[in-house]
Amino acid sequence: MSAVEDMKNNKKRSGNFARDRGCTLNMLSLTKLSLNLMQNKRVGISRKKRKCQRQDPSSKDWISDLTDEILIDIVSLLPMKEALNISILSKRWRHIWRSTVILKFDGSNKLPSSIWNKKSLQRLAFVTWVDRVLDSHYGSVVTEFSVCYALNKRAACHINQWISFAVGKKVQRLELKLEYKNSSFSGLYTFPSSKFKAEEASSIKHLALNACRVYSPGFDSFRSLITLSLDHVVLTDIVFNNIFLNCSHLEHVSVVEARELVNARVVGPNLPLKHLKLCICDQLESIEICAMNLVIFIYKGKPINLFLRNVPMLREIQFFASDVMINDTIASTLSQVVSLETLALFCENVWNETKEHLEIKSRVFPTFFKLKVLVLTVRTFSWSGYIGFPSLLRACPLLQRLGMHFDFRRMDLEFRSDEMRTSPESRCQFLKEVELSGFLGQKFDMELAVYLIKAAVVLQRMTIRSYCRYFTSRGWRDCQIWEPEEIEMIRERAAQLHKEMPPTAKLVIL
Amino acid sequence: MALELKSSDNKIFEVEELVAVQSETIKSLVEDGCADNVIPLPNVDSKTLELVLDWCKNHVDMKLDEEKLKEYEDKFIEVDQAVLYDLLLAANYLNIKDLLNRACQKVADMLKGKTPEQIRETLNIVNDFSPEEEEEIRKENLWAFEE
Repeated sequence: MSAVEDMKNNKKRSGNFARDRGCTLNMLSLTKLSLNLMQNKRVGISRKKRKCQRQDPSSKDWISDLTDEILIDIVSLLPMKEALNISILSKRWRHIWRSTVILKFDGSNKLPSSIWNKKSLQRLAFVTWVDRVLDSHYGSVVTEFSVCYALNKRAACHINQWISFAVGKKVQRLELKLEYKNSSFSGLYTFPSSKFKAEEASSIKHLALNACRVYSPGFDSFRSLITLSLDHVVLTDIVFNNIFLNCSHLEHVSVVEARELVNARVVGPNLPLKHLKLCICDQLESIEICAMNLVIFIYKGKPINLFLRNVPMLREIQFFASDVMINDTIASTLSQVVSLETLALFCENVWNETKEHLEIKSRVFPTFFKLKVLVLTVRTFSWSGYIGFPSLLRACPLLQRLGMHFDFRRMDLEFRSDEMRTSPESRCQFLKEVELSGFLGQKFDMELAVYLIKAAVVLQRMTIRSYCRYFTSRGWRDCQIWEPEEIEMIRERAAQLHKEMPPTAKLVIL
Repeated sequence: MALELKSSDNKIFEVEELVAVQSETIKSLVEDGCADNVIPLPNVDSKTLELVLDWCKNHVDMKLDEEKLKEYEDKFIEVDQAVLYDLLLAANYLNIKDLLNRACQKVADMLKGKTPEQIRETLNIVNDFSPEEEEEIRKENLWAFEE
């Protein structure tokens, strides 16, 4: 660090030309200096002294006085398009973008030109553009390289070169979001995992792949990987399972829409894994997890065989598979996670009045001893009552927060169960916060709200949302479908709950 | 443990080591055992150093509260161009990554979404290209000028 040496020798700061930026930029700065002198001699321009500091910068070009390093850092934060815009500002700025440490090529919404009507020409334009930018790139380091554009195996030759480029510049964050159409898995680009030598891949800490195939050896040489995100990929059990055996720093894994993954084993020595997400893997049949640092586990898909061995830190599970609470095995597996504090589930048929009505009514849910937060997304077209609800609440004795997110597509809303009309026999001793989304103010959700107000003896806050909140594999989403007048009506109905609220509690209507 | 830092205008600042080593530069000095006496910082004036140390202190205090920290950072960086300039140079010199990043982001935000002409006006940059050179650059970077 030249600054450190300065201080040690008590020298004044010299122009910081980072050594590896190359001579060209040095010469540019000299050119700039001589230009300055020239400009100061021009008639008509006020003779401001171009000193580096202490002048009123609102009327002088202070920014071009900054060092190359800083300008590069600034330009790196701009989108590619704007970075190129900058190159025309003045000679000082012309080549700054060529040393940018962040390269993001996002062609997903901006089409290059109106004359390129054919998709193939657009693709060609995009690919050529990326190639050209990479050719002109001058710096020796790129920290982030990201491509976001619909490309498949036909562009493999180019994409492979881009990856070589990035790896050669010791990239730390690599993203290839090649998008995909219509859930198709054919023609996907194959990620060239076999071409990475161990040292090459060791700079990569964050990897995100969309619409790729990954064959063996998969991510074996990515030893420094901290986060891995795979979306719409094809990978086998071996490739997936090896991730956890080879990447010893991995903390965050997200796999969405993976084909050919059947039996997932998240097992590895001293796995630092904290966050695991597995969603919509159509062929998945079982998940085995043995991860002593795992804190959050998210799953969405069909009901599977779940084996949770040795998860002492697991505090949050979001498990969106249908019929979880009816499925004894999964329910009891989840309840055996002793550290579990937050649980989010789908609730569909639990409370539907079907032929199994009586069986469900007498169902005893396994107890979730430490559960503090319970979130239920209620997805059903016909809602007949809260048959199992009170016993569900009984199963979570320490519950502090309850969230119920109703799907707005509910149509048939007949309230039939008598259980809710009577006062709750079991009080939720610790329930402080209740949230109801997708609230309509109809008989059943009003009765539910009143039931909860009465059951929650220490209620502090009830939030009623007129919009829906729902889980997608790419995150929670809010969705408002009603017109303003309808929203107002919902809010008015919800406001009637004020009279039921205890004085210490607050009612928030959104 | 406390360290003493001296600004360019000879003002002495006493700070906790934990706060001061947010600066990688100062951290190396401490690790090399050169921090026993007053550490002179000839390139940072007292006004800027005070701001920088405030940043560092808050980053130690609010380390666990991400929301609060972000609020602080947003408020901190609302400064005029003169101060921003000094902060950029100081953060670079003292090698304080998060401050440098935040300050660079602030400048980047000033540049975003503006045409080159607008940027030149805001920041008083003089266009020293000839029309032919400018045309050449525009051609080179066709993608960027497709508006």
